Amino acid sequence: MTETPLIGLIPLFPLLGAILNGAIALYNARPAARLAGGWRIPDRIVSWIGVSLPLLAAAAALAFAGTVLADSGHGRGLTASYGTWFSSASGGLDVHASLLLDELSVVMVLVVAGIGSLIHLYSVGYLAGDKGYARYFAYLNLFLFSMLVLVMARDLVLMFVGWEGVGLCSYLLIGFWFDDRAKAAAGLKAFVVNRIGDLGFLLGLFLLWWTLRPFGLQTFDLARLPSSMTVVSVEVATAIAVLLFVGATGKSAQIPLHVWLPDAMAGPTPVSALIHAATMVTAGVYMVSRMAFLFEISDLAPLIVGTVGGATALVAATVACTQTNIKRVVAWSTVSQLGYMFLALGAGAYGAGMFHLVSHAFFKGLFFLSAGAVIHALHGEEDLAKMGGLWPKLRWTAIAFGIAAMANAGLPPLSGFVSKDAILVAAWGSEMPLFGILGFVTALLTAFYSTRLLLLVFAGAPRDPGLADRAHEPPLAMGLPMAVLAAGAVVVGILDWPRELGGHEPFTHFLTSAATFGGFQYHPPEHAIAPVALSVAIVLAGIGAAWLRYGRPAAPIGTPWPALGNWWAAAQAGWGFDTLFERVILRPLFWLGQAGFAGTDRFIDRATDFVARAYDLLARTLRPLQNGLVRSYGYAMLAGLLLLILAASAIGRPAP
Amino acid sequence: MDFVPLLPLLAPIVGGLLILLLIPPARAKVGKANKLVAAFGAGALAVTLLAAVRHWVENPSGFHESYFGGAFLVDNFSLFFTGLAAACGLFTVIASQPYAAEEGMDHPELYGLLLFAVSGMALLAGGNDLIVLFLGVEIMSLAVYALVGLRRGDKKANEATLKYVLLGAFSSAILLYGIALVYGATGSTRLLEITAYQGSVPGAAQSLYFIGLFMLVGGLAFKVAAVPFHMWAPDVYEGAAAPITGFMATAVKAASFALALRVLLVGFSGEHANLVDVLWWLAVLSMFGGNILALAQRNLKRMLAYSSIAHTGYLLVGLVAASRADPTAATAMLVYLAAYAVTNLGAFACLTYLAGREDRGLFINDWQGVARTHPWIALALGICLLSLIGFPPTAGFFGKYLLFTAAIKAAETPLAVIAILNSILSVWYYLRVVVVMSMPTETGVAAQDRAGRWGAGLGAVFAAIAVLWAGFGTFTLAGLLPGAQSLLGWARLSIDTLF
Amino acid sequence: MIMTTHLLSWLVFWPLLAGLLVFGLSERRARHWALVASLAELMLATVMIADFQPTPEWQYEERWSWLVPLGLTVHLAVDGISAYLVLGVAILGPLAILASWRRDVGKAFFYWLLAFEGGMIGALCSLDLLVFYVFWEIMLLPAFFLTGIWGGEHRIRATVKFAIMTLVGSLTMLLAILYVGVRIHAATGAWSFDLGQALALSYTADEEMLLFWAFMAAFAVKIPLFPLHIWLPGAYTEAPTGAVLLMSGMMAKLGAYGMVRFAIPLFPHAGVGSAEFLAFLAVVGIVYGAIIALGQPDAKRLVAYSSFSHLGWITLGLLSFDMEGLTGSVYQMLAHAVGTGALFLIVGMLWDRAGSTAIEKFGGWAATAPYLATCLLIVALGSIGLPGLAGFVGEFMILLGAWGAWPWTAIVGGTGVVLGAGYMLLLVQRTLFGPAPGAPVSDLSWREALIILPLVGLTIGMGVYPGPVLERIAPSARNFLNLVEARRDTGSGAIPAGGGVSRPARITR
Repeated sequence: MTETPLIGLIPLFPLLGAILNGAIALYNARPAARLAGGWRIPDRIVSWIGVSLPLLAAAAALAFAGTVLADSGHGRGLTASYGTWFSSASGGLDVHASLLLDELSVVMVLVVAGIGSLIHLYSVGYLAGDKGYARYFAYLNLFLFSMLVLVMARDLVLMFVGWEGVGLCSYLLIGFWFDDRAKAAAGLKAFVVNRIGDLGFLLGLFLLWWTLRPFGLQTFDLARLPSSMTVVSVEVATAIAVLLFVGATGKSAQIPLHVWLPDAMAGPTPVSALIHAATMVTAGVYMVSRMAFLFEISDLAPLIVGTVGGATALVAATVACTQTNIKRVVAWSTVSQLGYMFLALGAGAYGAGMFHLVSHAFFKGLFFLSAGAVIHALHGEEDLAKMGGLWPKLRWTAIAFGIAAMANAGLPPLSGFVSKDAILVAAWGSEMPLFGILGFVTALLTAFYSTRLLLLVFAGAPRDPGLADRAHEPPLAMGLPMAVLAAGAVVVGILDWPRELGGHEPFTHFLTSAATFGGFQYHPPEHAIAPVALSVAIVLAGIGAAWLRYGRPAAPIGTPWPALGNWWAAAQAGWGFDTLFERVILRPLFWLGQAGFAGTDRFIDRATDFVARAYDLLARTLRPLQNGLVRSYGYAMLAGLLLLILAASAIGRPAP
Repeated sequence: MDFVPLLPLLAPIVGGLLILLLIPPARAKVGKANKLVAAFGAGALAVTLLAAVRHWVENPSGFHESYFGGAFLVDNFSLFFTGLAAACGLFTVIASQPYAAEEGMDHPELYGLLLFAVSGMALLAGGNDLIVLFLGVEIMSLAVYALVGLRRGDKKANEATLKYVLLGAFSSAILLYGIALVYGATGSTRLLEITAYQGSVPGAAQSLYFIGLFMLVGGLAFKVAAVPFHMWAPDVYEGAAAPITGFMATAVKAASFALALRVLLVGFSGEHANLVDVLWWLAVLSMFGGNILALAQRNLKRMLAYSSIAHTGYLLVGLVAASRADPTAATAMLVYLAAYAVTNLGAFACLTYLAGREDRGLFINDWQGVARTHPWIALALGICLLSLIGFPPTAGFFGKYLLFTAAIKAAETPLAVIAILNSILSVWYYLRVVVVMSMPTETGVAAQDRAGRWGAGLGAVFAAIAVLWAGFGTFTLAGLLPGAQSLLGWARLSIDTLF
Repeated sequence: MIMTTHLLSWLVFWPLLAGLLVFGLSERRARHWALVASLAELMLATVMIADFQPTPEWQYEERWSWLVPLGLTVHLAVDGISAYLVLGVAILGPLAILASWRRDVGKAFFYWLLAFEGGMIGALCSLDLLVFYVFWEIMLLPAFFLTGIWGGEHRIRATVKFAIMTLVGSLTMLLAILYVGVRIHAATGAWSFDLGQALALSYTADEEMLLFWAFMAAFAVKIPLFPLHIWLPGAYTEAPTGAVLLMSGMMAKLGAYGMVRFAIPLFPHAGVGSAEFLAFLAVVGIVYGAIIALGQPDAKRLVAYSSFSHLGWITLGLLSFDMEGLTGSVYQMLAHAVGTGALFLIVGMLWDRAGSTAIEKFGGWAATAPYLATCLLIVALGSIGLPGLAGFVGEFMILLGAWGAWPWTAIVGGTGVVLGAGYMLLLVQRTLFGPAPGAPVSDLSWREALIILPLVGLTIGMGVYPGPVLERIAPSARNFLNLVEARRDTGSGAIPAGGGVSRPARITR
């Protein structure tokens, strides 16, 4: 590893942006500025800061990426250590503030910084004139910083900093328009559900630490951990892996912790695109790949990862088929695609998983941006029932949207096809037949809902002519990023063109040939044409089905086949996960809270009172002895004297 | 025969007699003269105090002069208690200005009786012969009976006096019988000789001897108001005028314990397991009885009466420990008595300051808002109550600390545990007063302006300061008296003369 | 110069005595003098920390005899554990006074605040058991009067309950202290209550158990441990902001401190033996407090319960007998002092605006009071342990240590992390977000900013750069573990100097 302190610049730039914009936001929030005519720092400056610094970060990332690519394959990367963050004592806990830029993280950094910058640019147009403009860019830059720390951290605890940091930013950004209770609540939900995952992550770290400690190997340093895995037994490794994976399910919205993501769409659309599609939600995937050396010790852990991923993919896809809110369809599709990635990891196809992460970042980012463009064009309307027939008005948007939808569907030769195909091949080849089944069924549904959405928005006649008439193409600031992403969504597939179709899968090789996964070598499944053909066929079938049902002008958006009415409704309700959480966890908790206060605490309180009361009562009962009669006093004295003599001579006293 | 050392004993007697002779024949002229009489009484007490101090100063090593063939001793022990009694008397004289006048009880007799009481106490402190001690008890008691009844118009006072006299007579009888039996058994009333004979008491006389001993203890228990001999205390404390109550609660108790200490340490030193058992039970009963019943009281004077019963209990803990011929415990008792005296005098001075006509308005609910209207008195009373709890850093804390440590040291840990338990019980009713005083609403006495009662106010503040100083400075009187820098030192020297 | 040779004496007695001056001054002057005095105190504390060495030895040690025949010596010294707690008190002091600036309170109020400082610092510095007890009790008085006289509507009941429970505990401790003193006298023939000598004694198993729990009676009430917390909601809710700042901020920590300094080292077998049970109570407290906070409609009580819950963590950490756990626990004491202090201050400000602490009276204030909102958000995030803010470091180390001792405590206690996020952000949301109600509330005044900004700064600073503090705490933490180990190996054992690093970083159970 070569020590390169400069890589610290990559996260530093956005942090700088966050601080500057934060200062501006606070300055503009001063009472004087809030009065009419009070001077505020103009948004123009905010935009410059907010966009240029991420671009600088991206540039820096590119520059260093070159170096990493250059000596790839030797398991070397760039590191930078900025000393200890906190430590207990010599030989004890020692958390380093140190960064690592190797093959794996460089990929993430490029995606995050690159797509991040584009979406910052897009936001300039989308958020123009919002009263919280500066605050928005402060949050967004802060997010970029946290995300970069997450992917570049060399110390697991430092990674956790980014891990929670992105959670915070997502919380702040979902609730960005905080005067709407629902939006604020969505943010809260996201944060708390994420926290459940984070706890899993923490516990995983603790178990890891105490497993290594007896051997004096305890460390959270990612560069040193792989070599010390030899002392970890399979069972313990499984336990740690599962705990860490709990963290991943929280961050990457896997069942059962996926409930927050659909609601997270309450935030501004660019946020959904960047955080809840392209980058943050993939943190789990990155973390699992990063810890592959641990996961692969155990047989059970990957199985769990794959199953949860596959199940999530399938369930989310079914829900996506039924949604009537444009952003929710995309959101659920995101959950589903993330499931795919975990399916790949479960099947041991880390390369494929990571590549799907990359291509997904492009087409899902695009998907959201173009959806955002549509919403923008319709002045904030998100309901599919009011759309349709927009093709004439929004051709450019429609094209971008189409590319995104088809890539998502996995239509060859778009990037989505390439990456998803790799996953399906791996799933097919894995010893778990379940993986294959889940993968292919989901592929069908994916193709169906992607096409459905496309058709419902653009095809046929407008369902709400008034709205459609006022529609307009997005401004340049929004259009440009869309164009770039669209291009990416089309061509990125080249990077990992499947061998079955005569490619060399350079991306997978780049990742796996290196010791990126901590010495764990990924062996791609045998050369197989069958799954490729099957997946293409399935995709086409899905598209066709959607076309038959929604191709007609002004097709109703409801259930395509009345036969599955109830199922449709159930899926529309997200299979009732929310109500489950509500009923099983939230309500009981709040009930317990009130019960505890009004019950247990009241009881203990009364108990303490009771002691005082008893004392009081005793006093009152003894009081009458003092009846004011001299004779009784006299008797008392006599009796007392006799009793004393008796007591003393007979009983004695507790022996000292 | 050198009479100078007898000055502490003689000064109050002479003073008292002079006052009684000086009483103007016609009541009319009393009014003005009383200021002078009060001043004279105070003077006599001051002389007593100074005389006691002087003897001490002149004889740092410890002083031992015996009179009337060893029937009466003047030693550090007697000087300590004589001084304490005189100090209490002096304080009472000052604290009852001009309260006594307002209550129409400032007859010259007030001061005369105070002086006689003090002289009785001096006799108690120095008496080395059961007869002399009995004399002391009676002189003191009779004077105090009269003091209680001094407020003639007040029914409560009259009732209290009657009860006190009757029961007092009763207890004196018990005491006297005890003395007689002991004399019968040992053939002497001299403490030292009793000690000497003890071993050789003929078997037949043994039972006489023990019964006598127990009756003696019973008589003492009455004087110190130990349960179950305490029942006079609440009624009498309530009936007597506040400053007098203060005097009773401090000086009388101190003198009685002086008697108890001398009799038990000198007269009956040696093996008396049963005697210790009796004291043990007395201690436990007094602590619980006092602390439990104090809670039920609404009248502050009655509450303080029960609290003084409880404190008798704590002191008896010390006595139990001391009966193991352990000077630590006896020393602790002396310190405790002094600390308790300062504290209680302060508390009663506060009551005196705010008391209404015939001591009405001393019910706890009358004291709401005192903290706002009379902050200094409230502060003083608060400090005194904290000292009674044994809250650091106050005189009371060090008293308790010394006593309980001595108890543990004497392997009386169970007793110490019971004592702590009782301190916990006592917290509630003492704190209640503080809480009531700091309430926002103002009722009863709080509203009244008592600026005129300078004596009580002065006494209260002085006592409060003393209590705190005793706590922070732990009784330090840097080198004021040779041979001891602190009260603890004096106490130790006084006790040493007993062993 | 006396200033430096008797620095601790100054720290302890300056507020107690200088405070008395307020009674001689006019209302306004008294207030100003109190502020000046507390700032001077802060300066002294800063001087003390400034050249505090990262070694396990006692520092600024001084002893002057108080009452010779009783062997009472005022023996003052600080180590890495107490030094920063002293600083914490000194920091909260001026803030408490400023927080009570505008209220029409008497001079006494300000005296009690200063006395509170003095009492706590005295208890933190005393190495003589009896002197410690004295300060321990002195500490109670200000809390009692501040709450009892200037408190809220139901203050009397709350105060009395608080005082009685505390006194029951402390008097029990007094008994144990006296017993130890007598044992020292028996061993050495001289009266002394010095910690050093007490540490040279050894006891039978039964004695240890009794004495340990007698001490714990005092500490468990102060912390408080479940179910002795019952005084807390009342007292914290009724107490005026200035007082609750010191009570929740520091007074509670002294319970935990007492365990580390006295109860466990003096009676190591009993201490280590009872550790799991105490840890159980602590964990119950964490979860119980958090769940009740979740259902609280009253902001002040919500913060009170959250404070109770956090104290559970602190206790858990030091009971883990693990370097990480213990160091983290001490660090958490400081972080929590800052965090909960700031929260109570802000709740006070909310009260000023809404005239009540009922959460339903708040809402949508982020729009009109952005600065207040920002402060509340940062402080809240700090208290729920967001990495990079004060709460995280301690929390992480505590749970790490706890896992090593008993994994289940880390797992169950860890749920506090989630619940904490729940109730804290719920408070934030209901206060700041949603549609703004009728009258727009005013933003931070200069005075309010002056009070809250230092704590906000500390929240960030302590999270980003905990190094210097930790490295001064660690040696003393290590020393504590060594001491307990040594005393368990050989029944007795004096304080090992230098804290041999060779020993295991945690106690074998």
